[in-house]
Amino acid sequence: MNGDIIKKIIYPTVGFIITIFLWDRYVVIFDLSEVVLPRPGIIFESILSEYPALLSEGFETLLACVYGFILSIVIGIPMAVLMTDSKPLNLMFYPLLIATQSVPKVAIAPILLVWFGTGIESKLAIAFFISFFPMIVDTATGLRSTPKELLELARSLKCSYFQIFVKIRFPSALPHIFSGAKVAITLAVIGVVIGEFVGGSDGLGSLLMVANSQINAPLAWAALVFLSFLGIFLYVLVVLAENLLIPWNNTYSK
Amino acid sequence: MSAASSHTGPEDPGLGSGTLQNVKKVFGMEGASDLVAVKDISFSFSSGEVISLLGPSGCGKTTVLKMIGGLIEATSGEITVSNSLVRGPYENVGMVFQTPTLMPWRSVISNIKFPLEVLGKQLTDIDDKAISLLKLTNLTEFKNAWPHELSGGMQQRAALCRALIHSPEILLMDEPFGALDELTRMEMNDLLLKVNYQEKNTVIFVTHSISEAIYLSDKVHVFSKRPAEIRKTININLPHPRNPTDRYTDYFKQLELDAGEALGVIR
Ligand SMILES: Nc1ncnc2c1ncn2[C@@H]1O[C@H](COP(=O)(O)OP(=O)(O)OP(=O)(O)O)[C@@H](O)[C@H]1O
Ligand SMILES: [Mg+2]
Repeated sequence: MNGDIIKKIIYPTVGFIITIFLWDRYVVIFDLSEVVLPRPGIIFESILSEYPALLSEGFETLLACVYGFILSIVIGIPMAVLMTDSKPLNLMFYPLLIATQSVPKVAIAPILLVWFGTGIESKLAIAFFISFFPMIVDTATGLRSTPKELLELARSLKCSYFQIFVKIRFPSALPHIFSGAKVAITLAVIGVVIGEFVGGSDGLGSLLMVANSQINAPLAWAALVFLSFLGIFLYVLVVLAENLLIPWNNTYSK
Repeated sequence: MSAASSHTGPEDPGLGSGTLQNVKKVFGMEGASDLVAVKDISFSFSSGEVISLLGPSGCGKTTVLKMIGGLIEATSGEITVSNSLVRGPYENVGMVFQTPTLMPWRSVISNIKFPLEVLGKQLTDIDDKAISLLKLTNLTEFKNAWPHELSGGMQQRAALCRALIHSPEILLMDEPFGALDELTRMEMNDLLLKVNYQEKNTVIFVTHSISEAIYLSDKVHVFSKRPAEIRKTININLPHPRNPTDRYTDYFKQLELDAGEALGVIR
């Protein structure tokens, strides 16, 4: 237990402090201008003075990420079910699905902007477009990997399609669904930030762009710090949900 | 039959009995010639008997077992269980597979009750039944554990409880102890006999192990290589209840020799 704390908390903290210290020394020794690389302390000051804006813009970004993520779940999972359970649908649309993934995501952002305007809709569309793919693929993999003995057991007990789905296939797909969700939430954040870069008027992404154009490097870096925390926060939420909903799964993860 | 007659089956002597009449199974293969898995199998079993199907790998034992359970349709021939023709799955079957295949998201007790849940049986004595099965299989203190917290042998015992919870007349077991170590396997053999004695159901047991087949069964059907035919039927006249020392008697060794010869492993 003690060794665990040292490994998981002390070591990373020390590593972090060393990195910050070296960063600071580097800027001072090579006399870099603030625009190129601000000192960590200055970024911290910027966070302290600008935190109301950072928080409110951060909240906009957070909302968009969550909505985009939810969108990819509520659309991705049923699509995965249709694709795994209907051979014709699979044959018709799976190639198309793969093709959508070869489109460079950033390149589609301006088009989505034209369709959905500069509000939250276009951010959601980009977040969804980027994050639904792992959701579909992992859910489909999960639904296809039900142990065949369990399906046989169900058949011998004359379970209906619905019973088999709800009581066997879906729960046994949950670990896969969650591994898809962990990728999806990360991608949703990326998607939202792309949306905010390209056309957004709010959110941390656009704050970062504005700060950049005003050559306010400390604020840009402060936005970056907030974005990283936001990403970690959302990821941890998904992991917590996973531990809460599928506690039986710790055989696989540990 | 003297050994089998020491069993007392359920009230109706027809329940749990069955016959296979010239059963054949051909699998249609895409883009290849058809595969004859089972050529011509006929045998019958009566209520409460333990019957083993012994044969080389890939000879069609699982296929025969699934046909008895109504999970695979026979290409020709007739299968009757409990006086009615098998035309698909029927609920009076319990199944145990080589791997326990418990649902990892359900506790042990909830896994065991699964068949009742989907069969919609509103038995008032569900809990009594579950508790007596847990006791029989020494799992009482693990009833609320997750499956992954159990050893392989314990998981297989839970799977056995699940197969028995709805009091099926016939228990189909496909190499259920094949993945266990020798010691656990012998324990499970005795447990199965105890269960069979208490529950009085018919057991059809698929195995690769000659000694396991002889120790458990009233009758052993030795299958040929694919396509399966019955090479030899060996009646086992060991007294019930079995005693582990039975394995070391001359009679037992003679039966092993007979089975080995029928399998072609001893020439
Ligand atoms: N659904 C299927 N479609 C096509 N061929 C099948 C199917 N199921 C089984 N077979 C074939 O039928 C033959 C017998 O298979 P089966 O599983 O019954 O053998 P087995 O005796 O149980 O073997 P093992 O001891 O290895 O479990 C094999 O050649 C197998 O490839
Ligand atoms: Mg088999």
